[in-house]
Amino acid sequence: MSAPASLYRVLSRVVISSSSCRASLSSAASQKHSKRNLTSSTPHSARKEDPLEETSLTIRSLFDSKERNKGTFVAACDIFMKRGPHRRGHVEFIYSALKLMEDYGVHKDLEVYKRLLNLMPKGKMVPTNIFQIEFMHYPKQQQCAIDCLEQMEMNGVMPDTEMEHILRNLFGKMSHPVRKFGRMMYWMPKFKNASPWILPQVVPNDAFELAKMAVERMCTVDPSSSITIYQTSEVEDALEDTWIVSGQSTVQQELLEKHPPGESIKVEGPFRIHLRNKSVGYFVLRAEAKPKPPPPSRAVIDDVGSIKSWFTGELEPEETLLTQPCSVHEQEDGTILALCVTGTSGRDSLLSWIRLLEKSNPCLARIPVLFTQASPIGEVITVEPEKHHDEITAAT
Amino acid sequence: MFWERDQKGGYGKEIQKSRKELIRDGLKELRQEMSKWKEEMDEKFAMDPVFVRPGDMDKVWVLNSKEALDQWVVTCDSDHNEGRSTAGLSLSPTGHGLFSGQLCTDPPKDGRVKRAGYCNMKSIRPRKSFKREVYLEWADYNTLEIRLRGDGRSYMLNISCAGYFDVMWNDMYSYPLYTRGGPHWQLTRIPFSKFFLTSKGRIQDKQALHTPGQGCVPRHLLW
Repeated sequence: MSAPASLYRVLSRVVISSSSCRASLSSAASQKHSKRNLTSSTPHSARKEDPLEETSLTIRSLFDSKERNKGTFVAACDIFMKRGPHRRGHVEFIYSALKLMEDYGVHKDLEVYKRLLNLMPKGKMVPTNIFQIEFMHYPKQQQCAIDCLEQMEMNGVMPDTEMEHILRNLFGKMSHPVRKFGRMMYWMPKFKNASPWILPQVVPNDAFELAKMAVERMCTVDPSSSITIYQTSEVEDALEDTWIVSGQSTVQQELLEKHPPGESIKVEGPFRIHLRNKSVGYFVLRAEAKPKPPPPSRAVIDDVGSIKSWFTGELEPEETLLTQPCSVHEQEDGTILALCVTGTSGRDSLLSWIRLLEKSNPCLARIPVLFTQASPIGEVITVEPEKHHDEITAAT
Repeated sequence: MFWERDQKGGYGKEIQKSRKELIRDGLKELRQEMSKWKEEMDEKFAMDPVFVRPGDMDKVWVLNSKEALDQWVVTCDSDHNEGRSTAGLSLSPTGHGLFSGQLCTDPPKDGRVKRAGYCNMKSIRPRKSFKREVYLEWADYNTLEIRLRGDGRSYMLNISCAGYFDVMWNDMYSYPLYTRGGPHWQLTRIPFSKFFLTSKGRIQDKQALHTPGQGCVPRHLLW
């Protein structure tokens, strides 16, 4: 019993000594290299933290270009492609490329995704029997291709037949990326045009175009709506020179005509409407809600309508033909009379909007219009440079 | 990989109370539960048939009071330090439920979370007497109707139908809820047949039909 115990003790001592030796070595190494700033993270993140830092050992990657656009991205891929027939490190290259796609503005570009997947070597990874198929032949590479497809899915990019050919040539027809491709091609077209308010795949960055899209979208509630584009320079002594996209329907014009001249109406806003990843602030011309007309009374005894239903024991639904139904604009919290988005969202541009509305609605001259002081959505939030909050007002 | 340890995937809070406290709390609720049970038994013996005629509409949730809002739970990714989104459900000045907050899609830099940014509004699960879990009885209905005033973003409507076995715990039927935005109210009608089966956020290949008679717990998820 004593022999193994002593052997164990000796062994453990050896282990301890070797570990201590390693520790001392590593500490020495860390002391030695502490000034070198070895960065083990991706080159991009290192660049982001301190772009000016030039150390003696800096990893230069293909994605270090100053100009970040599709051209430089594709050029980086091409350089990698020409490095040799083996394309060593293609999985790592694709992963780092996927991370940077948004910075380069190519995350919604199908062609670039195809180019990335084309970097993988063809033929080598095609499985030859069913066990290889089911147990994920070349798992790292297949997972990489799946992650690439996943990123496409997250960005709403639909693959095409060429993509299928690329994947089939890489991993065979029953591989996991091809199955993922099949799922994407089944589900993505179903939701591509499912929204009743269609928007382009990439919404424009221009505030005026966005404003037009926003007002058009909000005006779909009433088919009789028309959108007018005004320039504030049309109004005399307007302080701001900007555009106004105004939406008003004929129903709203009639409601405005019926409005009693003594009662004031309000211009409220800016409220926010989102168009994909952009948002626009809009203003509303609103009157106070009118009380609903009283329902017809059932006091008359001879009224046959008040006989109880034999089936449910309840009264039959009331006759509503005689009362005029409310329009969509007459809501419980107010009557919406017009909508607008202005270039500056300033107080003066709203004043110009009311002046310009007077041309099509002469009755506005007799109605007092109030402007609300505070924005109902709160103050503009300043974001820290690292955070990208979803709520960035584009048009305000 | 092949089985689930926990119904909530490890996110639930552990009960910190002692057994004695639990018994005391349980006995406090005994009276209410008994009266609930009595009502259920009365219903059972009355055997009133339920007639649903074509065009009938049943209001399940009307978010117009504080009590109605208490039937809902709001969660977001900052609850578990997995993001920076915040959300809340309050009563608007006009007396309607207002689901509002900040949505931040930046993942935290912890090297674990890949994507972030969700705010979720979920109705609490209906229960029978003695806290037995039940489903909402929606078998006679075929459409979900929602009246809302959106902000132009797309939301996800999830009907959770957690089954008995662990593979069915995360079953959900989902469909996107598109909102117009603007000051007008919007009425959206989604047939139940349009909903697709998902589990843990992934669409399933085999779209199992929703068993009639099994009810649902709708959740509204913001993305």
